[in-house]
Amino acid sequence: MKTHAVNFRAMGSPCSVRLYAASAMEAQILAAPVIDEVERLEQRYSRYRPSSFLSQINASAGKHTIAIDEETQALLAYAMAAYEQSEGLFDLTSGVLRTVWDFRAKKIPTQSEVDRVLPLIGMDKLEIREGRLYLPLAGMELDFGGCVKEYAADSAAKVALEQGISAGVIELGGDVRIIGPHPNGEAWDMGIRTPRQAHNPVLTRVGLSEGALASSGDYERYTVVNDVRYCHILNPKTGWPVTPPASVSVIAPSCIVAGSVCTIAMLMGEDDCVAWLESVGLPYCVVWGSGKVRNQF
Amino acid sequence: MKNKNSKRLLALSSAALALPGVSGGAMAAAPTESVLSYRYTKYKEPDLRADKVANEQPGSSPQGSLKRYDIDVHQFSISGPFKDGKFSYAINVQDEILSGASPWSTELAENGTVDVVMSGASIDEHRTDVIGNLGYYYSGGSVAATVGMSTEDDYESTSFGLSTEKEFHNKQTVLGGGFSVSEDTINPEDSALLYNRVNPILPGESASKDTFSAYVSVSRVLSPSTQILTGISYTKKSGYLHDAYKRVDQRPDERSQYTFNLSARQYVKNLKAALHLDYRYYDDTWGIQSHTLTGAIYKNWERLQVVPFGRYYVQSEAVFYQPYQPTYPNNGVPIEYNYFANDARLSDYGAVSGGVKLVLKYKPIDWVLTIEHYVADQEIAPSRSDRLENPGLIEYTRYNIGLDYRF
Repeated sequence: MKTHAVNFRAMGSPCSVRLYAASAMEAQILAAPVIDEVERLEQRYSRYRPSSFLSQINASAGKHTIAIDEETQALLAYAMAAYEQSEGLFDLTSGVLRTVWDFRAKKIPTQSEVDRVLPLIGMDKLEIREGRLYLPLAGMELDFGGCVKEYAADSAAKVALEQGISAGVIELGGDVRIIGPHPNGEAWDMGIRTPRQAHNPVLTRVGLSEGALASSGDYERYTVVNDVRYCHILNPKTGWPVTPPASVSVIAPSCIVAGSVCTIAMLMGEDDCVAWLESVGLPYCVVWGSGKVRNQF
Repeated sequence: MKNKNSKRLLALSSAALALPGVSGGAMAAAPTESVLSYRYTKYKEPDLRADKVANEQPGSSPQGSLKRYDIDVHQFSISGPFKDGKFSYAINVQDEILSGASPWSTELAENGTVDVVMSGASIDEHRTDVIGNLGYYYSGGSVAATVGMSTEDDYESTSFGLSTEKEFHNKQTVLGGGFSVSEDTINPEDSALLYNRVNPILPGESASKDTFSAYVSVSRVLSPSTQILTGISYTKKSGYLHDAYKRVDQRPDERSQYTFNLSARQYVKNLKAALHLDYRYYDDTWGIQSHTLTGAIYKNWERLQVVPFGRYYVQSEAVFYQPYQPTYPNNGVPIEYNYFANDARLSDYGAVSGGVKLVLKYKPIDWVLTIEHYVADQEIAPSRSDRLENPGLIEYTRYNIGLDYRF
């Protein structure tokens, strides 16, 4: 038995399941239900799929309430907790900013264009009652992009455990969830890469035998217009890009917590991210644009 | 962790734990919901062909009844967890009403075939079973106790059993074992004297039968899509093992039975369905060996589950089985046989059955419908070639409807 990585693509990112198996084919069979679970969540919560449940939710905005299942209720309840803890920075309704921010076209919107969509943003506007959700304004949109990939890593790990896989790692686009340590009990060796450097050399290593490691970095997503670096991370309260640290990594018992704490740290910006991370109390590593590193793993 | 008491972390962690994909793995075996079930089963054997039933006189109408069994079964059950899922309970009540005639004996007809002699009057039987089960679950295993009672007009049975399961290798292997004992008392009605002339239970007397049974099993997850289960069991019956309602029936007063079973569950990705295959080998000290092969496909659509299933069964005959009762004076047992029975269930024969089960899921109720047809015939047994036909083998159709209410 040795480790095999089964690679696949989901949620717009390269993904893999690493586990122990006698052969690559057996690894594929073992990983199949785990990958199915990621695909299930992608189909359900993708904003790119017109048939997804999320698309149905967004189509109901300003028109009628829509029944939401227990899983969606729990996801919204989690997002609401993150919204409250981050004082409104973590906001699933901020996706509507994409209608004025077209990074691909390298077009910077005017303030009045931004102001036009700001009233559609704010999780506090959502009405959730007796298993039904109402987006009160036409044009409001939910986007689970901020937490569904991380949640999928947790849920896929749970599926793996239920299937009897006890040793393994799930990686969904840079977010890592441990299924369980190596069969001999040893931790999995994780490398945190240095952002904004050629070939991203390993900055630090950390051993994980349980829980999750999530990372966010502007080195993955930014656009330069007129020599100004615009990060794709937008502050939902102002509608403008933030100046985030170059990367933040967080270790937590679950990937959804690690991921949202990371995302909020990015939204807090270079100056305030450490205060936020300290107030949460999870192990973290921050790299600033200047190259400065604060490693609290 | 640096600061486990952070209010922010607590708020996020507790919200995360409410997510179905994040909450910790529940103990595998413990039931997580309560189920109230009702089932109605109609079991119907077609009437016998008149030419297969013995006549008083050639060409006259058959002796006894052509009607075989009709059985109506009402089944109620309730089960669920209590004490935070540490314990489970289950209560099953079954009420069965049986009517029809039973094969009384067999005889050699003039044309060389064997005819069945039916009891004349229709039998009406009413049976009630009550079974209670209490389970206790701990991390990695469970123990359970079962108590059962069954009463019939002329029959009473009480049983008690204990079983246990233990999980290994992160729940990939489950070892199970258990035993049960039961005591049956037979009080045939007044007319019993009319029936078993060899081993009569006299009016006011009763006969009893004791059963002890034990099993061990192991199930193993081979891969997420493959699971196997195997087990062996031993059962010993002693006491009055004759059929009190047969005219001549003399069986040994002990019977030891052994089974070996092997089951596989395979999820077939292309079909998005689970394939269940079960094989069972049976051997007993009466000389019967049998093989049973059962297959089923569990296919789920969103609200509908369709389960087509089929079974093939073949057995050899008991050493003392004779297809018909040789005519000896005084209806006695032929002296060259210590034991004699012409019960078709002890003959060598094969059986096939098939059907489909449909489950329609409308929360919180599952509607269940099952239809099964069963045919037993000695021609189905491959070894059979030169023996006389053993009459009394049955054919039936079973209809089962019901619902499960989950709460």
